[in-house]
This record gives sequence, structure tokens and C-alpha cells, in this order.
Amino acid sequence: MDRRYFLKITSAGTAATAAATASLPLFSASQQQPGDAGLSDQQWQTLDAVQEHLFPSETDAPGAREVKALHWLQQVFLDDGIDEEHKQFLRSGVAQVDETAMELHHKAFVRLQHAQRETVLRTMEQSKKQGRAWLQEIIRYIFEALLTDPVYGGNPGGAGWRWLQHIPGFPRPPKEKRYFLL
Amino acid sequence: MSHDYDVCVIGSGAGGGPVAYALAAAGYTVVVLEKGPWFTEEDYYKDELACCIRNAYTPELKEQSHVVETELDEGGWRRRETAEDTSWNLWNGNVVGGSSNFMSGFFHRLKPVDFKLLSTFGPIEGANVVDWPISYEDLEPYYTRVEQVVGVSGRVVDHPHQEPRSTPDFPYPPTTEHPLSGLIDQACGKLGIHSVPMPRAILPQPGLGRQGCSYNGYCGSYGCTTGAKGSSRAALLNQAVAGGRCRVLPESQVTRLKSDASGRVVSVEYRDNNDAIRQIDAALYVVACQAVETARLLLNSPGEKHPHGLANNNGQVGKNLLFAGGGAGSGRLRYTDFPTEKADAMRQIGPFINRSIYDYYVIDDADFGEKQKGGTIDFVHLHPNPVSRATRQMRGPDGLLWGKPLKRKLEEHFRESSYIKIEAFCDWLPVDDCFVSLDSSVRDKWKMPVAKTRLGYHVRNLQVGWYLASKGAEVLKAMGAENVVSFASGSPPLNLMAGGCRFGDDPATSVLDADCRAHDVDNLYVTDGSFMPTAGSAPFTWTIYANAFRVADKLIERLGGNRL
Repeated sequence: MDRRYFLKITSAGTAATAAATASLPLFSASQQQPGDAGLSDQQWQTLDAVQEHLFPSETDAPGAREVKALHWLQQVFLDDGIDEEHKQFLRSGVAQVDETAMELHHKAFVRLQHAQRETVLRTMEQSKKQGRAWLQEIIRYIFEALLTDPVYGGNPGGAGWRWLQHIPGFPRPPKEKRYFLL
Repeated sequence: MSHDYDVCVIGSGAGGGPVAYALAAAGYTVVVLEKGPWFTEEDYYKDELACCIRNAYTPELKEQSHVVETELDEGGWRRRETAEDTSWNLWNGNVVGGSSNFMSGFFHRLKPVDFKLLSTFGPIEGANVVDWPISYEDLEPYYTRVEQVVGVSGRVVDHPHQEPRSTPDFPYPPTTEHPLSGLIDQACGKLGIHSVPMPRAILPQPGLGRQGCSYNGYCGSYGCTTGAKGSSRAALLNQAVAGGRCRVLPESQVTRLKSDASGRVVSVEYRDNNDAIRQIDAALYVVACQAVETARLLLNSPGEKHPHGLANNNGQVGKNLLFAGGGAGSGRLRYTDFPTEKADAMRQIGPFINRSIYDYYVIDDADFGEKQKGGTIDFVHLHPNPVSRATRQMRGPDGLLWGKPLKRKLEEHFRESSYIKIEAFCDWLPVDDCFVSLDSSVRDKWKMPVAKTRLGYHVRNLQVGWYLASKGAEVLKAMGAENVVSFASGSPPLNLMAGGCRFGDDPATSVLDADCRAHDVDNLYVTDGSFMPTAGSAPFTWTIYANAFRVADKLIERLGGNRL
């Protein structure tokens, strides 16, 4: 084998391995304990219930659960490229949901009926503590899970695109060309 | 005296590419320093997360940011650091080829009137309007050269504001058109205005050693995956490098230009991809980092003869920063309002709308005031990015939409209609309150002060922007569009910037001479959009390309002519 070629492929191989290892925590989120993101199991359940309320499952239209929106948020928390301040903002919103639920209905958010959940989230929307910005961001992350390329772990099989009759561009990103590997 | 290279170009975008291409082709050695990585067609995919949400093609704002100041209604200025408020991100594509990789390639020549605004229309109070030191006739051969070398597609049709051309038509026919283009033509016909095919820096078919457009519907904001888009990388640098005399050094951040006791530049200092400090010297230096960063680099490069920054002895560097002024709008065409066959055709993704109106390039309308400079109206598809489109649907009349109402709104938005967007371009008038300076309290990861950009604007931008956008809206209404809106804003489009090192004959009021050489630095040239003293009324890229080819000819002449 040509020595230069050999060096080239081995160094490329090493670089690729290093990149894959570096990114491992990001996209192996399903193997992580949810607690790694700085949220308790109970808070993850709150987030799941909030997402379900904001973007419910329906027979003919995928909801947050069908597009793996909770898993998407787990990835966000483990993404080194997203700054800690933003993650803290996301965490504080979860706490605010349960605080508001306790204040209004004396129960955790997950134990509330649909109409009660609506009052909690609408109260947050009106609150001065950035509740509206938090809700917008949670919905936006649901949209990321719904409408970005399935290679990133949301939008399974293109279900979000199919629902909205959206035609994605091509070529689509292969696994090894996801943005954090570029 | 021997140098590492004949010419050192800093920045590989639309301002740097033509210089590298032309000088290398004339037999000179060129090095291009680019702060970003060297991505090729193999790295670009239609990935909204990469291009537009996680911003994979621009620096990490925590490491390299800007400071922006916007005017408060009550007076005074609001200061923001872009590391904190990322919506004011001033980076536009820091990769080999620069932001030209991500342009839509809406290509418009400036028109003769743009070169002599002051003498044509007189002064405007509060604006630093000037004539250019060159005329349209000086630049025309280079617009033509860009058509041929970069590849511009279009079709010349007769209309009252058609600029003079040295060739009868474009070298490439227009890109494939969407059925909506015909509807615009019909509506304009009814209104008695001229609907003109918009030139694009996109090859409709293979040519110039590149592939043709794949018509996949995702163009602006995305790197081109076929090479059809005439980015500086695909159209110029690849060829320059293949010729053997041009070297592109990616991931090389220039930190300062060093000058000697006579004031001439003697070397550039840069950080290589391992963060090591390196230097290169050349006979001539060309700065083309995009307006804000070009001004910042000069201001960060003081020397014995340049105590206030390189080429800044008259305090002009960074002044009269420009953006593309203008307005915008949109309208919706509901599929159910059209026969099935037509509606199905309208659902197509891929072909371009590509329609422009130049009828209001000069506004001669007594209701609007004195005869004055107007601008260009473009009709384009709504940008297809689905996350961004969905995000705009969550705003309801009484607060945020969520739950089933949000889902129904998404269905309606995505499935039931086509949308046409109006992009109106007018002059962003040069004003004292729009400029670049340094902010020593915020530094990048190499400890260099970041650029502080004050974003003041002239109220005329808004007036003309509104006027043009409303003319565009009339066309959409005549097409039968619903929900037609049009508006203008004082916020600049941060991806369309120019000025800051205006060229002119008087060193007291300009940074560069007519050849784009710094008045007070003999071997320093600036070839990005910074040279523009007034903005014209169209996106800048074609003019930047053309002017950079013009300046390249000056450099070749200065170095002794074509060596080959």
C-alpha cells in the first residue's frame, strides 16, 4: 500500500473515531439516565405531560410522543453546543409548571385533568417569570422533533413531514454528516 | 524583495474569490486566509438543523461575538452582546467561499443612477449621500464577466429601467420556472407594470465544470450540493486552486495586519488550525472579510503610521455601514381557489418563481413626494424551512396556540396553500449612526476586541421600503392572493451588509481610492462590499463580485500585467 495513502486513511479513521466518541454523549441519550440532564424522574414526567398537552397524540396526526419529543429534549440537555444558561432556563420552567400546579390545584401537574393543565399553562403564559418564552421554546423543540431530518432521532420515518405533506430537500444528511460531526 | 506570495487575500467570500481567481490566472501566487473550515459539496446537505437552527457554519458566539446597538424609541441606544442575544448574530457563513455559499443568488446589477445619487437627486438631510468615483460604464464589463465566469442565468426583456449591457443576453437561460411565475406575469400585465425574469447566480444546466441545479427547493441559507450555485468557492476558488498558483488556508483567523514605519503592510498575523500564531508576507494585501469584520480587522491593526487603526488616519474606517434597506410582504394562494390541475402544479417544489419589478427603481409619483430613488421588488417562494415555518404558526390572536388548534393551523398552513413572498430592496441610506467600532470590553477567544455595530437608520429607508412593498402587495392582490400583508422595518437584514470603508476621491471622507486601495496604505486593498459608499437597491453580491474583478485587474496591472 502507498504509504501516504495509508497515513491518510488511518488519520482520517482516527479523526472520525475521535469525532464519534466526542459526540457519543449527545446522541446516546436514550442510554443515559434522565437525571443526567439535571431533572428528576418526576420532572421528566412533568415535561412529558406538558408536551402531550401542547401537542397531543391523535389518530391521524402525530403528537409529541409519536415524534419522540421527550427524547429530543434529553438530547438537547446533553448537547455541549447548547449553553448551560439556556438549559437552566429550560429546567426552571419545569419547576415553574409544578409550582403553578400546586398553587392553583394543590397537585402535581401530571395528576391534573386536561382543563386544569390548561389553566396551569395559561397562567404560566401570563406570568412575569418568562413562562411564555419557556412555553414557546418547548413548542419549538417539539417542532424540531416533528420536522427535522429523522437522522437526528425525531420525526420517525418522516412521520411529521408526511402528516403535513411537507417535501424535504435532498440530499438528506447521512449519519456521518450530522451537523455536530462537520 | 521576495515575498511568501504575490498577493495575500484575507477572506474567501465574494470579495476575495475574484481576486484569487484572476491573479492566479494571470500567473501570480496567491494565498487566501479563511477563518472557517473548507466544506465542499460532500459536506452540504438539506439539513435545517445544520444551516439554520444550530448554525453549523458560523462561529460559536460564546467564543466570537459582536456587540450591537439599536436605537431606543425614547432616544439613546440599547446595547446587546450577541453571545447573550443570539438573534442579532452578525456572522453569515464562515467557511471557504464565505456567505456566498448560502446566498439565494438573487442577482441584480446596479443601475447607472446608483453611481450618481447625489448629483441626480440632490442631498438628503441626515444622510451622507455621495456619487461614486466610478460610473456604471466602468463596472459594466465586470458585471458581464461575472455572468460568464461565475455563471448567471436570466433573460433580458425590455423594460424602462433596463441598464445598458455590452452583451445582448445572459450566457445561461433562466432556471426552470414555477407556475406561480406565470400568474405574476398576468397580474402585472393587468396592472400595466413590467414583470421581469430575475437573474440568478445558478446554473440551470451543467457548465463551467459544475453541475446544474437539482431543483430541490432548498437554496438560500443552504450550501449547494451540486455546485450550480455560483459561490466564491464553487465558481472561483476551486478553479484557482486547481491551477496551482492559489493556496487556500482554512481555519486561519487573521488577528492583525502589521505595518512598518512607512505605513505599508509588511505581514499578516494569523492563528492556524492549531491556534499557533503564524505570519505571511506578500507584495499586496487584500482584505475581504465582509463589512463588519473588515472594519474590525483594520481597527485592530494600528501601526506607527496608523495609530487609530490601519487606513484610519481620517477616522473613516467603519463609518457609513450599509445594509439592504427595504420592505417585505407575503400573500397566500389557496389551492381550493384553483382548478385541480392548476392547484397540483402549484404544489410543486423545486422550480423558482424568479420575478422582479424594476418599474419603481426611480419613484416618480406626486403622491409620494419629489422624484426620488426607489428600488427593486422581488417575488420569491416562502422559505421552505419547516421548523421555522411551524414556529411562526404558534402565535394566535389571544396568545400562544397549542394543542389541537395549533395542529389544525399547521395542517392549514402546510397543506392548503402556496405562499409568495415579496422582498423589496431600497437604498439603506448612509448615516452617521450606522457604523462599526471596537468594543474593548468584549474580546474573542484570541483576546482581540470584537466589533461594535451601531445600527441606526434613516426614516427614508422605511418610507421607500413601505412604498415598494405595497406595490408588490398590489400584484399579489391582483393575483387573487389572500392575507396579503406588506411592511417595512428599520431593523437591518444582517445577512446583507456593505459599506464601512467607502471609496471616494477625497481621503477626508473616504477610506479607499477609486481603485479600492487605501488612501494612506500603498499596498492595501479592500474588495468586499465595504467599498460601497451608497447601497444600491438590490442584494450586493453581484456588485461585490464585479468590483472585485475590476480591482483584480488593477492589481495585475500594478504587478506588471499578465505573466502568462
